[in-house]
Amino acid sequence: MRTLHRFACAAAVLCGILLFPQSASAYSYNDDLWLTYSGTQINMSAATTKDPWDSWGHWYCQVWSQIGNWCDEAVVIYDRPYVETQVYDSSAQLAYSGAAVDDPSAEDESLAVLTWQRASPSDGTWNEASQHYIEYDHYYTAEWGGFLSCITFSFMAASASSVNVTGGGGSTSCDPAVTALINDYAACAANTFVPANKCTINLGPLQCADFSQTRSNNRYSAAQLGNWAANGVNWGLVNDNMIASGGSGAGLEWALLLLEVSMPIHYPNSNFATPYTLNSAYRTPRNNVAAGGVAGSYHMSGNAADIGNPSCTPLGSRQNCRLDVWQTIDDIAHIWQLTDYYEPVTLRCQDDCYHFDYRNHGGDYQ
Amino acid sequence: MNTRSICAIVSTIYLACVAASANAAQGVREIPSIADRESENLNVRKSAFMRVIGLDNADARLGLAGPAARLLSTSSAVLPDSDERRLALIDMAVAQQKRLANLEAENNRLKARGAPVPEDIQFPDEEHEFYGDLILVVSSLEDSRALPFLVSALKTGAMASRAVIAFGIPAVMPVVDQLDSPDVDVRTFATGVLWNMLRQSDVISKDAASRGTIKSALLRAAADSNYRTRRAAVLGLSTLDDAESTAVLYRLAQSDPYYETIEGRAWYPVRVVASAELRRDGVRPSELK
Repeated sequence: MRTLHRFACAAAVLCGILLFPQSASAYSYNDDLWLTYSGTQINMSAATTKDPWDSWGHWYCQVWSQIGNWCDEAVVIYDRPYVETQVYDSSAQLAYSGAAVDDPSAEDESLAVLTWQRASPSDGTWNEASQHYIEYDHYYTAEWGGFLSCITFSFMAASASSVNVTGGGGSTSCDPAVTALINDYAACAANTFVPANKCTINLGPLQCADFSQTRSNNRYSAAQLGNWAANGVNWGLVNDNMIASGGSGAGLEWALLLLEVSMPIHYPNSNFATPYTLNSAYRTPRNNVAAGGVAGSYHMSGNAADIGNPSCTPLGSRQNCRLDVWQTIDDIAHIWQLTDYYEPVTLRCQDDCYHFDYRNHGGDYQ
Repeated sequence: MNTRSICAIVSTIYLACVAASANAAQGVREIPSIADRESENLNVRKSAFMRVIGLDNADARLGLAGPAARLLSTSSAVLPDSDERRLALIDMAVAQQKRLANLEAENNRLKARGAPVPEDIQFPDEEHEFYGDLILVVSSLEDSRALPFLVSALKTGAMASRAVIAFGIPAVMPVVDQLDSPDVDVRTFATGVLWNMLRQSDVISKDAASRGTIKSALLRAAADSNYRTRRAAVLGLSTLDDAESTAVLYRLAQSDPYYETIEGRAWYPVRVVASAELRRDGVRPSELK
């Protein structure tokens, strides 16, 4: 198949060179490279190790570099929505100064280090709600049959949205704590989070507005759902599933409603305190490490909650927890389909808490 | 031949070249090898999983955590059309299920011997997280070949049970068969799925044969050796709402034998649930003595 691919692509390249010798038609693709920002420098780093055969761009890159030389490279930074089909928002275009490293092999984007500033250096706020993209254009020229050929294609790279933009007097609207969180998530996705391999989650582009100080439900406050005390930050990434009304028939509050109605039937002589203890809900990547959570935990996406076993004494502890109560909660959760994915009692929650997980319910953060 | 004709021919050839190239680019995404898909190394398996669902560029370490439904709804690549990829996903899920069962067996074996249990065997949380992602995708395939796996995964929660119920009548017997499992969790949760079939699936609940099959199974569950399965049968029997089922409900409410002594009192978990269900249907407490 790769042979066929090589042949077809080489044919296409040849066709392009032969038939459109002076065009600058763009082949673009999303390279999914995360940008790292430091001061006023943007470092295009190949955060993910990529198989050179895994996409068009690299392949073309390789073939073309064998054919001839790159004549130029240019970098343009766009601010545009994540969805690729959206139209460019050229008004937010940034100018760059400083030269891109001209790498004839064009295989290693990490060599490109640029200084940059806003195109219109006026006071204002950078549009944190959008994604910043860097488009890395390569121009190839060759003499072919007497024609000058110049073909362009582009690499796209996405960045986290929480960039402290100070160039031109701009400022950021993101709370510094949220900026730090967004940077942590970007690091998780880019495999640069420390400690290594303890955060393997990619929530895509997060925005300041995704983090909340107010999202709550009728059982738990924003501070509880956001797990502020344990996380050490008064912001939370709280998915819709955590705050949906108990009457909606889905989500955490509905699960609690079912339990509050069912448990007294199962245990008419027990007086379990409600609302049940919320042992853990949203976890920041750093707190997830501290809590011993799995590296891809749904707690980090605000889609999971651990409800305390109400029989534990003292309440909220891990002591004297009755297994039959845990099993009854488990039975109710299964029979009423309260959780998308369960954790058996043998895992870390053990019999002192029950894990509710909403990985197949979508939802948003705003 | 004039210039316009030449241009037309040349343009046609060019477009054919572009199309050929595009097709080739699709085809180059090979399915990861079985060795990768069944590797001992979790990260290798995760990487294989991401490549099977078409997220070739994704970091090998990453799972699907996050707004998964958004991912599923916006990325057609996540639900592959090709049979080969679908079967590969189902096979991966089956293999992961076996792996977790083996880990649990090993954990129990070591504990029984009083031997130290390595942490990754005692708490295979990472393996479970990956299993959840496999179920997330397999349950979204709506592929009947996934039915046996999903039925065997009913213990894992609503993703599997909802997917099974969505298969309709063909799913009834496989779920009923789970009542023969030696695992009380499996029997209990299968009993719950039978109740959900009656209330969630018009196709099943209106099919006389399926309804009869489910009724027989629920009556069997009501006589199960474990109280949890008998307790789970209560809701289904109440939903059936016929004389035979109601008679069994009365029997459970009045004479189910299982009890525990909690804080000095006898606690009859099946009796209390069956009684509550009958009271909900208008039966007076005095009738249940």
